[in-house]
Amino acid sequence: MFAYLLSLCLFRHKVFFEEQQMKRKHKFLKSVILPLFIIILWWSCSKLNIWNDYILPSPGKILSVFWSMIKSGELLTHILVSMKRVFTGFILAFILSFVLGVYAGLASKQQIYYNSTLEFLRHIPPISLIPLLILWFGIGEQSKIIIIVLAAFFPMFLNIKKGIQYCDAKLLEVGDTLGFSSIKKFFKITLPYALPDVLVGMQIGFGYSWRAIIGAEMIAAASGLGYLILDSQQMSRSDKIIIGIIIIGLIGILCDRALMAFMNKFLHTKELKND
Amino acid sequence: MTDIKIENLFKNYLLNQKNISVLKGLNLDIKKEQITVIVGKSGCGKTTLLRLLAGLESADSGFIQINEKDSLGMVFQEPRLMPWLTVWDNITFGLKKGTYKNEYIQNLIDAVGIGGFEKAYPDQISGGMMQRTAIARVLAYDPSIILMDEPFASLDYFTRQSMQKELIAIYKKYKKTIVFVTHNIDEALLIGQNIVILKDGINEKTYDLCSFSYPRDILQTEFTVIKKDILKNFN
Repeated sequence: MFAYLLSLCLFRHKVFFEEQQMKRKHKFLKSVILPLFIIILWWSCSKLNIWNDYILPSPGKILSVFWSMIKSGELLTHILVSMKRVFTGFILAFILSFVLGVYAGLASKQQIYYNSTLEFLRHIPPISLIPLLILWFGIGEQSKIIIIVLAAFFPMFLNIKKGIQYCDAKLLEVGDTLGFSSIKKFFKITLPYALPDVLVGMQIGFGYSWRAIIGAEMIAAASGLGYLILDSQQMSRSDKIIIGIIIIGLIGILCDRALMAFMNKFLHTKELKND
Repeated sequence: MTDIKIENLFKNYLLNQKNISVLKGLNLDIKKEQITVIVGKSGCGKTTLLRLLAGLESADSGFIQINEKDSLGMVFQEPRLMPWLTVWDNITFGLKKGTYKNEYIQNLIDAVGIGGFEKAYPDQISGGMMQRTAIARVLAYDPSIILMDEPFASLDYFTRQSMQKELIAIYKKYKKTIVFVTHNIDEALLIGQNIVILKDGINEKTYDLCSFSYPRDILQTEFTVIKKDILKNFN
């Protein structure tokens, strides 16, 4: 009897595990249908010579150039340079937006003094400040990092402010009835309550900083993925341009997935779970 | 013995530039280690009274005298659990780490009947379980006075019945002063040792039910007589 029950349990566990695996496999298959269709269409058009190879190189050529760029280390150098700039700027932007966002969320009555200035600055694309930044800070790393800080600051600041400001007053009252001090209420209720907004702000901010660095590198840089694309355009190497674009997209997806995994690990929030 | 003494308590609210008087000179004595049930129609000031007792709001005039040694805990109408914490972490939410024993918390969890759900999050348990968790959170905090603001109002009939039984069991075990607000007269008769009718912001009448033991059969003649009298005072 015991052996029968044990085998039944093991069988059910095996079935459940296989079902989960199947679901994951199906999800993956569904997500690659569109990219595969695009690649097949692209390959067919190249085969039929619909476009000139100079305008749109074939997937095969792209792959061989990609491989040679990996072997020579050229691609990795550009990726690492861009990532270093993005992470430096992003961390600085996060520290700044966290401090100011928490203050703005807690002292929401003061927003009358800075709201219009903030709205004015928020609508200025960081790329439009490049000429001025080059004039003030030169063409070194500083101006590029400032562009990233400016791009990532606002989404993070606004999300952190929102999360802190709109903390559920009913939960704060629980803290009051348990005799919490203001500081304890902040760390035990307000901050955990705001965490989903903080992480969403980080996710958006990271995407913005990645976009900003590409723009900045296309204007004033000697390395990085933005520079790779612009340099390839000047050298009429459309294959390298496409590789640069694909790498930017792939790194974007990878960083987003990594941030999502981090969020799901630390948050018990259904909305943030990645399908 | 009196635990809380309320004298000439007034509370007004300003709503759309209109002054609304909720408590109009309330006098009330809440007895130590007894269950005092405050009953009244919606808007009669029951919740306001509890919020004033809990210190969440301040009175316009009058005074509330609570023994300095007494501590207060409150169970709200909604469970108000921290959604990012498990049942266990919600229960120990008001406690400093290292100041409690795990057996003590486990006993509380068993007492309120949510054993086996310690690792569940609030969105994974039922409304009744959430309210039980909120009660366990207050018990873990170990206040001498527990304020309960219609804690079973949102529960279905059967869950409500079982929660009423649990509350009586908890009261017998931990002997706390409980101030329980409800608009349900049957509930008041089932659990109250003192029933206070709050009407138009004042204490309309107080009933002493200490002589009736638990569990109570509210279909008994004595209870139906009291119920009729409460209803007469209600309207």
